[in-house]
Amino acid sequence: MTAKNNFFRPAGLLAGALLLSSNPLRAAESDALPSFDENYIKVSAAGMDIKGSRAAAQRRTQLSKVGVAGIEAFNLSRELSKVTTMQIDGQALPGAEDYLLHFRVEKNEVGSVEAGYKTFRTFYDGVGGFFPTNNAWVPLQPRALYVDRGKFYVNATLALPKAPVFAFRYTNSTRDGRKDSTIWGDTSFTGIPNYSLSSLNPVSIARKFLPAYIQLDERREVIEGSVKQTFGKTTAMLSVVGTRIDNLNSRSVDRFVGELRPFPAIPANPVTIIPPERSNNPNVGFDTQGMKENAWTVTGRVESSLSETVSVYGGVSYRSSDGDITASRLITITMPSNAGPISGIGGFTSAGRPPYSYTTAGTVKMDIYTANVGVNLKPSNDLALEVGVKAEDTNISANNLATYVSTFMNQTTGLVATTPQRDLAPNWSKVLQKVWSPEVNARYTGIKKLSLFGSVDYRSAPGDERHLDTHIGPGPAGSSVVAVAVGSKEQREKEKYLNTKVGGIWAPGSLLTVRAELFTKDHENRFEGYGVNAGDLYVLDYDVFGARVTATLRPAPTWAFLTRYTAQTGKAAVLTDVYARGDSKDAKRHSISETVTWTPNNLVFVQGDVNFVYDTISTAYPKSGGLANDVLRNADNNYWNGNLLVGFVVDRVTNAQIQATYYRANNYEPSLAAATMPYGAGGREYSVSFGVTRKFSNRWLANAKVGYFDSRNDTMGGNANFRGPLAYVSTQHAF
Amino acid sequence: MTIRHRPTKNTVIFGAAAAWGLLLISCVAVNRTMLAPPFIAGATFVGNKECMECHEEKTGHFGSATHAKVTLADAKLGSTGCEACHGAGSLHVKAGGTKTTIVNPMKSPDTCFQCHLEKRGEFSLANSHGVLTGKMGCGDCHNPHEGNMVRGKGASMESANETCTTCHTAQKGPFTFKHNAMKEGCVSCHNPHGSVNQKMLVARDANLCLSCHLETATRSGIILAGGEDHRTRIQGGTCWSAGCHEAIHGSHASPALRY
Repeated sequence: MTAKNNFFRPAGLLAGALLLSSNPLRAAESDALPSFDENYIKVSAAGMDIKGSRAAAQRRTQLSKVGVAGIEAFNLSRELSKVTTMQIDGQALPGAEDYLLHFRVEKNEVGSVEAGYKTFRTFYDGVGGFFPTNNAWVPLQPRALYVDRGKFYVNATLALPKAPVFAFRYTNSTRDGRKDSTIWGDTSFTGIPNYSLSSLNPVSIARKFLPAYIQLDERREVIEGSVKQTFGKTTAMLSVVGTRIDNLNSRSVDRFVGELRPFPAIPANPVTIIPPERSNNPNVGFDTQGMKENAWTVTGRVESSLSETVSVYGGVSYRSSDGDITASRLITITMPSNAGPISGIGGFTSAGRPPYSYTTAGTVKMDIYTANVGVNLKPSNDLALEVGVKAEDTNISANNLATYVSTFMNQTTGLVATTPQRDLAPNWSKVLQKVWSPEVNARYTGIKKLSLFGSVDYRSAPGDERHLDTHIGPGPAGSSVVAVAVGSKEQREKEKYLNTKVGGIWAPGSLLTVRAELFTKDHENRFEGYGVNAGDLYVLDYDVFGARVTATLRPAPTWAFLTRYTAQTGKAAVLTDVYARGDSKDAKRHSISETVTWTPNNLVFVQGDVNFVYDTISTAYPKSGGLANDVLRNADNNYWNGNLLVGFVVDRVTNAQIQATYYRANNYEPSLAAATMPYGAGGREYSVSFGVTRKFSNRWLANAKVGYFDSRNDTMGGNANFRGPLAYVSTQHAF
Repeated sequence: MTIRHRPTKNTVIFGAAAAWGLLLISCVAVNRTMLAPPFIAGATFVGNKECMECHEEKTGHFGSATHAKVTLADAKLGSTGCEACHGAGSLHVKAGGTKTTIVNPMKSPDTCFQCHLEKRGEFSLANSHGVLTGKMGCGDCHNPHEGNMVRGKGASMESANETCTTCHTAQKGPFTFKHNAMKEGCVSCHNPHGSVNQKMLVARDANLCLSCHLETATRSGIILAGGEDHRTRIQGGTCWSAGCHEAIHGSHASPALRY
């Protein structure tokens, strides 16, 4: 043993000496590994072997559970002539469904044309909800959850010398697929009794954790033409942009699936034991919302440099949009009857509340006039001022006619109305708003090693809002129809926002730089009723105060420390015509982040970063007191995470990299389940990976990486946990 | 009988140090620099003028950019150094503008994380935009070369929320019955960089809505919002769960923000 120690000790000292004597800077990089940006192809493959929730792993890593393999990157660049270049970029990764084809031709002093198509896939999981009391785990039905985002584009620019620059752009962006939603439906399958020996449970047994999904079918097309010309020190630009949006999104609506309320109704007195699984009626369907919008925007801008110290800018813009809206929300309710279960769209019973089944068609029109003007001043070498103001006039009008569909169902006879009740429900709204928004920015550098800055922006937005709405509700006792009611609102809006920021940067030397700033927000939204709503009042006062400090410390050429600390408090208060002003929100957030970089020599670097976040939002708790404190606690969103990255040279042709990550959140409080839904995020993740990059020739580079990922999701009761190895290999060839 | 020697703590420490030393010895002849991202090995600063020679469309309006108003770079580069974000440019200039000799923050957010280091932590969360997976770049939402980093702010011509609604068009409106929280901005309810909560929500429960809708004049065990006690409703879960205020961004059928 002693002999071994005698060997290792000098070996360690030798290693330390080598470490200290390494020259941190070298002028030439004769052994640099090649990096390819032109005329190359990169082929790669990746996969994982997961134990646990593969859906959760797929979402977290954005790596398909079936693996990914294909062309990660491709480039072909050619000089077609001395002044003309051509470039083709591509990507084709089946599994990840990431594809790109990009084509570009550019001619010096003439312009460029480019076109391409790009699409990529984002994976989602169907973790749905979890209820800890009875370990109820409700994932979405097994189905693929992902959204593909695609973009086809054509851009052309004509930029001849001493001539106006013309640009044309067309983009067709799409989002298609299915993703999970947090609009969870409610269920009574919670394991909570709704009775005791002597009385009903004062706490509802229903919780909202039935998962839902949304099917996206969205398209956005933009066609834009612009011309820009410079006259001396003045530049003018005119653009016309046309936008067309075509969306049709459907959301699943599930409530109390698999549950049936007993019929005939069980007498309330004496208290009867009602099995929890028989306390409600299922309510399922789809809510489809469609919007087609055509919009045109014309914008003109001018900027001019009047002198070395004064420049001005200004612009005007007009936007007009017309939209067609459609909606179809057809909800089928099922309930028991003397003749067995009966179902109907918008089904209701005598004096019962229908589940809002309707179809809608209507239009929305919006006109926005915008103008801004500003001046940039530099009264001295050390002082820069920017003063600008924007004015905006918005006019929105919307009309639609909904048709509520309600079906009377007789539980005594089991008969369902063959002709549903149809109620026409007109809705309209008109919104006017005039925004005035000045802004001042200043910067002063006249103090040695110190730079001061500040900004103020203000927004005043008086407006007027009127609307009429028609809705349905339970009919009178004993009736077999639903009631139709009309509501209206006439109110004036006053928005006042004041945002300020002031700070400084102190750089006493190359070792240390400190940036500190204070920022505030003072926002007030005021709504005053008039006409039929005279006397109504709602005022929301919202204030934020915060401070941020960023410091960079380089005590030695091999060490760098970067620190950022942010503290922020937010308070809100509500005043209404009925209730006196009271605090509605008290939020606090502290985050501290640190990045440490150590580069002991040319051959290795170590970089670690860590973030600690304390974030809490308090509203009703604990102020409301009593039973209210049981159903709501503060929203805690605390977490910390970190990352360690080590890169080092292995030999003349090989680099290696080690990476480790960690995350921890502990906001999950399952005991809340007794009275409400525990949503707080809780979990732990870590990952480690080791990668090697090796040069086989100046035109061939290969990379391999293996890793391990372990994720624990407490909020989902462990049902979304996963762990397992991941691997990635790639090879790049230049040609 | 075989005696197995267990390594002592010192053995492990010095053994590791020796291995480290051997590694360095094997590499000492290698003329290559490993640098933590986003730096460029072997490059030196050249200054803004070199950048303006070819990238006038990026530098021309930089004076109006948020980043132009703060000191970012080495004092030798001036207060608005391009190289503060794009790395030292000598190799890029020498190579005639090749992509691999300059830092492109659109492809790697490491440049932005040099100052906005807390954003790396947020983007690392499970509920975040795909910046770290390469699906998006910081530049998809922020323009560092011109105007306000947050669009629609102050005297800028853009509309508020335009950054988000360019992609999320279904939430854009206009709606027959709007949610006035949209005027405060999408960030009233979402942290677009990342959150511990699903959908990047700043809070996952009813506190999110009560922040602006809680009427607290009466506090005797009730939770007033919209003039009604929501205590029993909150027992179920969030305000936007099925059956209540689902159309949280705006509705065409219900001023109570039902679909």
